[in-house]
Amino acid sequence: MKGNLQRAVLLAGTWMSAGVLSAQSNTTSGSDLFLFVMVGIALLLFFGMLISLADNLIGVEAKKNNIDVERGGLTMIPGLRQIFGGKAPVYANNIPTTVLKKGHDILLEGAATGGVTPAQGVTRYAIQPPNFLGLQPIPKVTAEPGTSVKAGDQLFFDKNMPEVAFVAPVSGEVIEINRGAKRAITEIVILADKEQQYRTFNAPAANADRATLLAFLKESGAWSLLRQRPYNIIPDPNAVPRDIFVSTFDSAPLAPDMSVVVAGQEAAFQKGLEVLANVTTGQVHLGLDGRGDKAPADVFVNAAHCSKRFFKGKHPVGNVGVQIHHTAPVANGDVVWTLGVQEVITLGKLFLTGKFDASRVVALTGVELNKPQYVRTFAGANMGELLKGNVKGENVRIISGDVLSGTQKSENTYLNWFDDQITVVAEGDYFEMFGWLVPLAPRPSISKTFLRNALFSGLTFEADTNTHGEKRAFVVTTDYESVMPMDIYTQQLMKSIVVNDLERMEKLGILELVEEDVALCEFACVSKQPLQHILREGLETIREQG
Amino acid sequence: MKKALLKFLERIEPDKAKSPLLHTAYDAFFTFAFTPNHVTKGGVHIRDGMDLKRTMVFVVLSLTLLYLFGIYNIGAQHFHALGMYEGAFEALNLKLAYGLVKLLPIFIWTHVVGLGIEFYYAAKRGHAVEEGFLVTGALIPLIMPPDIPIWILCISIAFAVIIGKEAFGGTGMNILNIALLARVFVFFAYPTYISGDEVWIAGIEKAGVGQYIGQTYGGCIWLPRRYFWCFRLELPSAKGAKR
Repeated sequence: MKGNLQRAVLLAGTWMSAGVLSAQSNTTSGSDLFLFVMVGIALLLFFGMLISLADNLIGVEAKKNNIDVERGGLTMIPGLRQIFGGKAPVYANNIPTTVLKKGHDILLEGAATGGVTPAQGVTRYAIQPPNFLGLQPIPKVTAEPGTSVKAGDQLFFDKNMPEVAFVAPVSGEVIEINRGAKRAITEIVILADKEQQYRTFNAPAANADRATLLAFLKESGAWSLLRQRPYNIIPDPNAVPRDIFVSTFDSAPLAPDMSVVVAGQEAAFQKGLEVLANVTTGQVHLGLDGRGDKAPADVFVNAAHCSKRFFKGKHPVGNVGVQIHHTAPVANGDVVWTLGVQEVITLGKLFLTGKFDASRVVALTGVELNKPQYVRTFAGANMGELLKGNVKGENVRIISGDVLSGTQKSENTYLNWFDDQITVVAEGDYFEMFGWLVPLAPRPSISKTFLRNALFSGLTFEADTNTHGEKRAFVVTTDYESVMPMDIYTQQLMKSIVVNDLERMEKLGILELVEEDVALCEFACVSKQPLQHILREGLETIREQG
Repeated sequence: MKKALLKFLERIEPDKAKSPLLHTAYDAFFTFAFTPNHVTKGGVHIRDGMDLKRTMVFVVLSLTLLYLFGIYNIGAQHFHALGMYEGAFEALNLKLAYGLVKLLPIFIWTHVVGLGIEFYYAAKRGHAVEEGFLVTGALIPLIMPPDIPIWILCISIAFAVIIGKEAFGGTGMNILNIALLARVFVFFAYPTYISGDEVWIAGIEKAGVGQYIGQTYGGCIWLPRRYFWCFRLELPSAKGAKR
C-alpha cells in the first residue's frame, strides 16, 4: 500500500515537472530552454542526492537498532530496488522476499514427472571419500572387504578428525575398496541386503544441549550430511556454525521438485530443522521458492524453528550460496553450514527413529532417457543399475547431478553422496559447418543473437556436450555479470586466482563462492574457460595457506 | 557436401611441426568452416552456443551502418569540396563509388598487415588465431583519415598490434585499445600528415586549397538543425565518426 503511494507521488512529480518545462518552451527561445533544462536537471540531481543520502543514513541507523528496513518502516522515498525490483509473490504474506533480476533458466527437455517409485534392481551402493571435500586422500578404513555392515555402521574415518564417523548408507557386505591415483581410496562398495538392517542409535532429545548434539552427530555419521562454507568442505569438528542454511528448492536445469521429494517425510524434515536450530548459535535459514504461481509445499512455508525467506528469480536463485549472500553473507572468519532437503530428512529420521536412513529420492532426467522419473533408492546407488534399460542412445554422457555442476560418470560408478539427480545427455563430438555463424540446430544460450531464443521464451532445448567453440583467453563481455546475482566481479576474481593473488581473491569475495555458484557463468562464457575448476584451485590455495 | 569438405580438409592438413605458420593458417580456416568437435570436460557439461568468433562477428556486423555512412561521407565531402553535387542525395552512386575507392585499400591493407602479424604470433606461440583482430580491423578504417598514405597506415597497425597487444600476450591481455592506439600513433608520429582539415577531405589536393576560402565545409546539412543545433557539424569528420 505504502509502496504504491510512493510510486504514485513520484510519477505525479515527474509528470508535473515535465509539464512545467514544456510550458516554458512555448515562450522562450531555444538556447534559454536548454539552459533551463540543464539547471533543472542539476538541481534535481542535487536534491535527489541529498535526500537519498539522508535516507541511507536513516537506513543504516535503523539497521543498528534492529528495525526491519526492508518491509518499509522508515524510508522516505522508495529505493530503486523497491520501484524496479519486481513484485513479491502473492503467497509470501509476512515472509520477506528477495527478488533477483540476474540469472538465466536453462530449459532442457527430459524433466522427471509423476510420483516416486522404488528403484528396482539396484544391488550395489558405494560411499566415495572424494565426495567429502576437505578429507585426506587416504582415510582409515574400518570395514575391510568381506565384513557385513548394518546401515549406520562406521566404514572409515579421517585421521585428522577421528571422532567423525562416515557410515554405511545400506546394510550388506563390503565387497571392494577401489583406489584411484596415488592409491587414494575412491569407492567403498557394499553389496546390499534384500532386507535393510539398521544399527540402532540412542538419539538424544532434539533440544538437548549443543555439546551432546554435536557429539552425537559425529558418532552417528550425520556429520557427513553437513557442508561448511567457505570451501564447501566437511565441517571442522571444533567449530560451531554461525548459521545454518537450507535451500528448499533447486533451480538448476531439470532439478528435482522438492515438494515431490519431501512428500510423506514432513515430520522428519521438521525434526531435522529443530535439531539444527539447537546446534547453531545463530539461526536456521530456510530459502523458499517464490518463483511459481503456487506456494511451495506447506512443510516448507509453515516450518518452525527457522527463519524463512522467499527467493524469486532465475537460476542460480536456488543455490544456497546465493541465498546466503542475500540473507547473511559469510564475512571474514565466519563459518556456516549448509544442507540439502534430503540431508535434513535423514537427520530428522535419525532423531525420530534412531536409524541412519540414507534413502534418497533421485530424479532421473535428461532427453536421452526413455522415461524420466523419480525413484527412491539410497545414497551412493550404482548408476548403471539405476538406469538399466532406460537409456536411449549409445553415445551419451551420464552425469551425477545437473548439467552445470554435476560429475561425469560411467555405467559402473556410483551416485555422488550429495546428489539427488542423474542427467543423461547426448555427447556432442561432431563437427558443425559454420556453426559459429548460422547455427542450424536450436541450442540454449543467454545471447539474443540467437533469434529463436530472443523471440520465444519458455522454449526447451535438447542440449549436448559440444563446446560450440574453442577455448580462448578471457575477454570482457557482460555475460558473467548478467547471470551472477551476487555482488561479485567474477572475471576479476578468476584472473586473481589464475595469477595466485591471495589477498585480492579474498577481497573479491572468493570465500562466498563454491563451484555451483559460478557454474552458470561458466556455461555462458564465450571464451569457454573452466571457471569452476579455477575457483576450486583458488579455494584450495586459500585453505592450504590457512 | 559437408562430409566431402570435411574429408578434403582433413586430407590437406599440413604438418604442425614442420610448418607451424601454414598449420596456423589452416587451423584458422578450418575452424572458420567448421565448429570443432570438442566436448566439455569437467565443469559444466553443456555450453552456451555463443563463442568468441560469433561475439566478434556480431560486433563487426553492428558496424555495417557506420561503414555505409562512412563510404557515403567520403564521397559527399569530396564532391562538396569540388563544388559539385551539393544536394545530399544527388549523384549518390558517384559518392558511394568514390568512397569505396578510398576506403577499400585502407580496409584491405589493415587486414593484411594486422592478420599477418596475428597469424605469425599465433604460430610462434602454438595456439589458435584469436578473433580479436576482427573488430580491430573493422574499427581502424573507420577512424583513419581517407587520404592517409598506406605506408603510414601499415606502420601504425604494426605498432598497435605488436606493442599494444602481442607484447602483453594477445587478445584479452591487452591494456590498450588496439584501434585507438593505431590512431594515436598516427597522430603523434606523423603530425604533418594528419593535422589540419585537408586530410579529412579525400582528393582535396586536386581541387586546390584556395577553393575553400569562404566556404562552409560539408557536414550533415540536411539534418534538421532545429533539433541538433548544439551538435552542429561544421567540420568534416572522419568517416562515420563525429569529431
